[in-house]
Amino acid sequence: MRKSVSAERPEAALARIVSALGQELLDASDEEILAAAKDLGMNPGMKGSAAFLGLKYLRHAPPEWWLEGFDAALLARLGMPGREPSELGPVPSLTAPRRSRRPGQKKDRSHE
Amino acid sequence: MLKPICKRADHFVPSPAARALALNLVTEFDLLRLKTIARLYARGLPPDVDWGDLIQEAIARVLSGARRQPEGVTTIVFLAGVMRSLRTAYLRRARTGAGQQREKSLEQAAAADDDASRIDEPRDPAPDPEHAVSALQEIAAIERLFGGDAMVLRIIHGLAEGLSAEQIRSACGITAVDYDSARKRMRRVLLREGLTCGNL
Repeated sequence: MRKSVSAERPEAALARIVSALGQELLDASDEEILAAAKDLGMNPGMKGSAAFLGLKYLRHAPPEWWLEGFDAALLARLGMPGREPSELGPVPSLTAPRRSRRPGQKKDRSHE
Repeated sequence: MLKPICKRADHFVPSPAARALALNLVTEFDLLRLKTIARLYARGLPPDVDWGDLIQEAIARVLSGARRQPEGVTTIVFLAGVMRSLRTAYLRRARTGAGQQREKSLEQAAAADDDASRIDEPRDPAPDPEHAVSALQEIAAIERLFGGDAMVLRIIHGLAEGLSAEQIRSACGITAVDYDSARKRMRRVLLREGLTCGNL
C-alpha cells in the first residue's frame, strides 16, 4: 500500500475519505456521541449545550410555525396535519436581535 | 437569474418551519450526528459554503419534496446522503464556474444521486491544480486529526484508495479486532472534532 494519498488524484481520494468517514459517523452510537461530548465538557442533554451550537434554530422553533408552506402530501406522509395560513401566527425574523432574559426573569413559554 | 447555492440555502434559513420539522424528523443525537457529518462534508468546499449551508440545503430539499426519501432508509441516513450529493454538486459547480452552470443543473445533479449508498466522486476528469491543492490540504488536515495513530492513518490511506475494510486489513495485516478498535478511535476523534465549531 502506498504511504501517502497525495500521489493519486487528490479530489477523488478526498471524496472517498470523506464518504467513508461520514459512514463512520452515521454508524456512531448515541453512547459514542455522548462520550465525545463529555470529553469536550459538553452535556448534550442540557438545554443550550455548546454541542448544539449552529443547530439551535433547528431545535427551538415554536410549533405554530412548523407546518407553514410545506407540501401537503409530504406532511400527510409524515403524519402531520397541515394548517391554514389564517391559523398561523406571524413568523418573526431570525435575523432580528433576540431579547436576553434578565436573571430571575421567567422564560416566556406561551409559544411552546 | 442565477443565484449562488449558498444564497439559496440562506434564503431557506429564515423559514422556521424547516428547522422545526427537522426537529420532528430526527432525535437530538441525530442532530449532533448530522452536524458532525456536515462539518466533515464541508471540507474542501468553497469558502463561502459552510456546514450549516449543507444542513439547511439538505433539509430544504427534503421538505420541499425535491428529494424523496426511499422506503426503508432512515431520515438521518437520507439527509446525510443528500448532503453528500450537495457536496458533489458544490464541488462540480466550483470547478465549472458559477456563471456557467444553471441552478437547474445543480438540482439535477443532486437529484441524480438519490441512492444514498453511492460514493460521490468528482465526475469531471479534467485536472484542476487549484482544487487538487485544496483537496491535498484537506487530506493533510484529516491526517493531522489522527496524527498519533499509525493504524488509523493506514486505514485512511486504504479508504483513500477505495479499498474495502477486508482489503485494508489484508494489506496492512490488521486483525478484525484491531480494525474495529481503530474505527472506534476514529469515530471518537471525528465526533470530538465535529461537535465543536472551532478550526483544526
